[in-house]
Amino acid sequence: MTKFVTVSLFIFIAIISGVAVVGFISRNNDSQPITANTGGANKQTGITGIGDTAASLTLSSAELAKHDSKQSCWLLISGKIYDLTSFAQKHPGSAEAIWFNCGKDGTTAFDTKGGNGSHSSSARAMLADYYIGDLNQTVITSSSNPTNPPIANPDGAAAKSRGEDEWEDD
Amino acid sequence: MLISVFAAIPVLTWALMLPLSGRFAGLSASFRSLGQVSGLLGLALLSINFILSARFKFLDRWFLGLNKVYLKHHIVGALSFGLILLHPVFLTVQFLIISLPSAYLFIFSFDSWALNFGKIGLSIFVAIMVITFYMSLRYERWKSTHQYLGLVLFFGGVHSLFMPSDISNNLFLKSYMLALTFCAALSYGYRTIFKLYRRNEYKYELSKVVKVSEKIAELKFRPLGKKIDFIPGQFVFIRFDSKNSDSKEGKTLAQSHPFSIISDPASQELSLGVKALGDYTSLLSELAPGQVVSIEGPFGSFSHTKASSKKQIWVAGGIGITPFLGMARAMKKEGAADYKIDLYYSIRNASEAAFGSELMEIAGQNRNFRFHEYFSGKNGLISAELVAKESDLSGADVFLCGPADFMKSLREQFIKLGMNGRFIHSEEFSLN
Repeated sequence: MTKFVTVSLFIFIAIISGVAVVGFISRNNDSQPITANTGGANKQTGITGIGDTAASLTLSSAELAKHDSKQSCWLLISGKIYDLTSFAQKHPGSAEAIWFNCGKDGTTAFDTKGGNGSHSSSARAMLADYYIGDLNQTVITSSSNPTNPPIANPDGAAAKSRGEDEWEDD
Repeated sequence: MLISVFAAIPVLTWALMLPLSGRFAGLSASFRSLGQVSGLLGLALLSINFILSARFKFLDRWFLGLNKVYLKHHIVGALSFGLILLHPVFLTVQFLIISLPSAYLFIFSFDSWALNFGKIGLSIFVAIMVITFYMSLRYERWKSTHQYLGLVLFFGGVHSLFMPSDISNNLFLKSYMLALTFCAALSYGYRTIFKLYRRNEYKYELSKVVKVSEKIAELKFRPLGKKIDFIPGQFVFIRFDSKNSDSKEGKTLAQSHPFSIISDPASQELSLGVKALGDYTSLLSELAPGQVVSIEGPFGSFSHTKASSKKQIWVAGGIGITPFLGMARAMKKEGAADYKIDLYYSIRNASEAAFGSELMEIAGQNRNFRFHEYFSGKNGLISAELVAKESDLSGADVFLCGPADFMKSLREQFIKLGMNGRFIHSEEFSLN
C-alpha cells in the first residue's frame, strides 16, 4: 500500500512542480501575461506579405451567423467575436456546450457556465486566445495564408477546415 | 466487502449518469473523467475511514475484531490518499492538453473559493500523510498530527459539494456524498472532538502489580463501578486518569493503549498482562496501587468460545501468550470439559516465559488442556510441522498470537499442511 502512495505522491509532485516551474518561466519570458499562445489561436504578426491581397471583413451579426457549425464555429460573447472551432473539443465543459451556441450570442451561456456558476479567470484568459474582433468591427485578413477563412469568397459558406492562427488582432 | 459497496455507489452513479462513451470521447475528456472519479472515490474512502477509526463496537462485531478494522483502515487510508493526489494530477493533465498556461492557471489562480478549499484540504492532507507514511514519530506525537485529518474532511467535503460539475448537479450523488461525509464528521466528533466514548468507559482501580518475569507483569484492577463484561481472549484500551498530567510521566500514562484481558470473566478482579516494550509499558509495572484507570471495551473476536471446533491448537509467541492465558484460566469452568486444547508457548528461553508455571498447573488440573513450552533459542523456531507431530490437526481450529512475522509464517505453514485458512485465527497485537 505504501508503494501506491509513494508512486502517487511522486507523480503529484512531478506534475505540479513541472507545471509550476515551466509555467512560471514561460510567464516571465512573455511580454504579455497569460494570454500568450502556445498552441492556442491567433496572433499573427500582422505583416501583410508582398503579393498578398488584403481583404477586409466586417464582423456583423450576419457574418457571425454564417459560422454556426462544428467546422466553423464563432461565438459572440460580451460584444466580442471568438472563433472556437478548434477549442470546442478541448472544452472542459464538453464540446456540445460550445457547438450549441455556434453562430450565436453565447454571452449568457459563458457568463453563467450554462447555469453552473461562472467561468474562472483562467478560462477567461483562455478565451482571449480565440478573439477575432469586436462585433461589427472590420478586420483585415491576408489571402496568402492558406488557412484563411473562407470569407474572401463572396458566396461565403466555403467552410474549409480552418486552422487556428491567422486572425490579426486589432 | 461492505466498504467496497459504500465506496462503489458514488462511482457507479457517476458512470451511469451520462453515457460513458462521451466521458471518454477524447484525451482531454478522458482525463477530466479520471479526475472526477478519483476525487469522488477518494473522498468516499476518506469518509469511510473516519467511521472505521472511531472504535465503534458494531464494527468490532462486523469485522470480527477491532484489530481487523484497523487493518482495513490502513488500506483504505492509503487508497484514499493516493486517489486524492491523482485527482488534481488528472485535471492538470487535462489542462496541459489545452495549453501550458491554462494548466499553470488551474493550479495557481485563486479566485474560485470552492477550488481553494480543495487546495487547502489537499495541502493539509499531504503534510499529515507524509508524517504518517514516512516518518517514525513517537506514538502520541504521531497521533496528535493524525487527528488534524478532520480539517481535511471539512475542506475536502465543502470543496466537493460546492465545485460546479455534473456531480454537484446530480441530486442523488450530491445527497449521497453529503450523507457520507456527514457520517464521517459525526464519527470524528464522537471520537476525537467530543470523546463521547468516554461515557461508556468502566472505572477501575489498580489494586496490585505482580511481576511475573523480568519484563512481564500482571496488573490487577478492581472495579469502582460497573464491572466490565467480556469473553476470554478479548482486549481493552486503558487510560490512566493521571493526577499529575503535567509531568512527562503523567502525560505518558494518560495515553490510551490496548491490552489483552488475562483474568477469568467470572472473577471480580480484572487482570491485564503487560510487557515492558517502550515508554508507556515500562512505566506500568512501576505503578503503585490506587491509580484510577478508564477502560474502553471489550473488543475482539479472538476467543476459543467463538471457534467452530472445540478441538483447538493455540500457538503463542512471546507476549502473545496473554489472550491465551485468559482463555486457559477459563478452562477450569464446567462448560469447558468438552474442549480439547493444545497450547504451544514459544519463547527464546526460560527467562522469557511468563505464566509458564501457572499454565503447567492448569494443564495438570484439567484433562482438556495440554501445555507445551518451546524454547526457540535451543530448538530453533517453532513450526507447524513440529506442532503436527504432537497434535492432531484434523478438524481443529488454530489460534495464533505473537509478533506479526511469527503469525504470518505460521499461518502459511499450517495452510501448506492442508488446513483451511478460515479456521486459522490470528490476533494482531500491533495496530501499525
